[in-house]
Amino acid sequence: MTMNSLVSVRDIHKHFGEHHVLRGVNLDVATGEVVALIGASGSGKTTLLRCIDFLEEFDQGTIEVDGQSVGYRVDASGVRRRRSEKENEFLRARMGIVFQSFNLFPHLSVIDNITLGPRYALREERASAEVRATELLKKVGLEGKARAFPATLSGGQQQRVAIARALAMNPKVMLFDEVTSALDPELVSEVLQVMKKLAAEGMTMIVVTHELSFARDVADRVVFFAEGVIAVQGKPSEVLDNPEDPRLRRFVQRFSQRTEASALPG
Amino acid sequence: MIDDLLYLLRASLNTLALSLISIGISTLLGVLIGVVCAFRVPIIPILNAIFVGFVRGVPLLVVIFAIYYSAPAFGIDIDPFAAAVTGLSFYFTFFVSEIVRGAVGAVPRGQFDAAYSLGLTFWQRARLVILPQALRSALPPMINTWLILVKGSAFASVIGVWELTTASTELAQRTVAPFQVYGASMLIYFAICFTLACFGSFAEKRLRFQT
Repeated sequence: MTMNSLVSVRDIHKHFGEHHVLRGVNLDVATGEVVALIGASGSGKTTLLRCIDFLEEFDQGTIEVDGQSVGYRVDASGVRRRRSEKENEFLRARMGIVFQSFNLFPHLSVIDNITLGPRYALREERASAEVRATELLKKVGLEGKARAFPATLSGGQQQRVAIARALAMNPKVMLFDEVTSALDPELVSEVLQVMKKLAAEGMTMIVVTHELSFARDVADRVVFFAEGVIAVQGKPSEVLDNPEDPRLRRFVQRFSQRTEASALPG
Repeated sequence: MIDDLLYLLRASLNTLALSLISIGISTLLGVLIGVVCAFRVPIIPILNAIFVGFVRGVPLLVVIFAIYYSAPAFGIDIDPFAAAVTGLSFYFTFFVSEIVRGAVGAVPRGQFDAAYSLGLTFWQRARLVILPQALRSALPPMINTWLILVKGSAFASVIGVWELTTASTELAQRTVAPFQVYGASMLIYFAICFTLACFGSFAEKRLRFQT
């Protein structure tokens, strides 16, 4: 394990029934690094992200975030045990995740969506949580929408609220799970802009994405998943320009056409 | 004539009391059991499934008879009103629990993920995220169940609870005017149920997600 790695994934295996989704994944992410995970559907990248946040159990291996092992611990006799719910809740509270389908709470206003975690999981005062939520709304370009309800917002706006909601927990690392895949093409860039800004501010980010131009412009490293393992990784230009791996070459060809259609402004 | 009507209205207060108490108990217990079942706690779902199967397959009237007439055999001294409340509450608890269980199951998976990811505890997830959504969708079938309960309270008459149906039968025999008496009785039942249904749709509108 390298000294400054914030997230450290070691030999993760995960089965869904018979299906062996993750087949020994190793990944280190340094503080402030932006890592883009790419790969075909079903290659395991989303599952890895969900394992890091322990929304998904895994069968073997370890994940450490900021020195704390996620989900399980090995006891004195060397047996792997699930951590208590309380410990896992505490760990989850220190990571932010943004989902493909936004998953805002439909019964709560935008500001209540953002302050829910800080108020209840972090036991912050409502007033200070709202001050911070208002700042975050400004940051994602949605000042004035605090009292709106999710259903009144466009997909791009909802996703930006979801980013603000995750940021409100002051996360050590932000996980993005295909956050633009459910959006209309014209709404993609407003979400990518926010992510770009976050990356520039030095946020540690693991981004599952099909937006290759975003990966190229923003990521420090691109990781290509195939069949449950990391097949290729490196600097964006190394990975994406003239790839040798035939699967990666096919993948890049297929997705570059799409990315050109929704080119990233700015 | 007026006296007779007042007699029925007085009796309907008992119907109302019987119904509201039973609605309160069965809703409270039903929601609790339904929630616990939906969150994958051991044993309780199995018991719930047994009782759900039971009340689905057994007439309410028989349940009320069984409670009232077999209580003494267990050394319990039960008056008719209490027996009726027990029967109605027990019977409808498991209709409510099934509604709530289904409604929690219908909350999208992503809502659970989001609640988890914020580091909320089990009760926080249930109270702040899942139940407010589940209970909204549970409300219409729940109100339906309440209405069936109000009408089912008429069975209390067979074990001697003095309520609207009992009073109607007495009055019909006394006045020899069954058409008018039962007609009035039906109107009163209808008024009670209609009010409850109106309250239900009002609550439903108030609780609807703002769009």
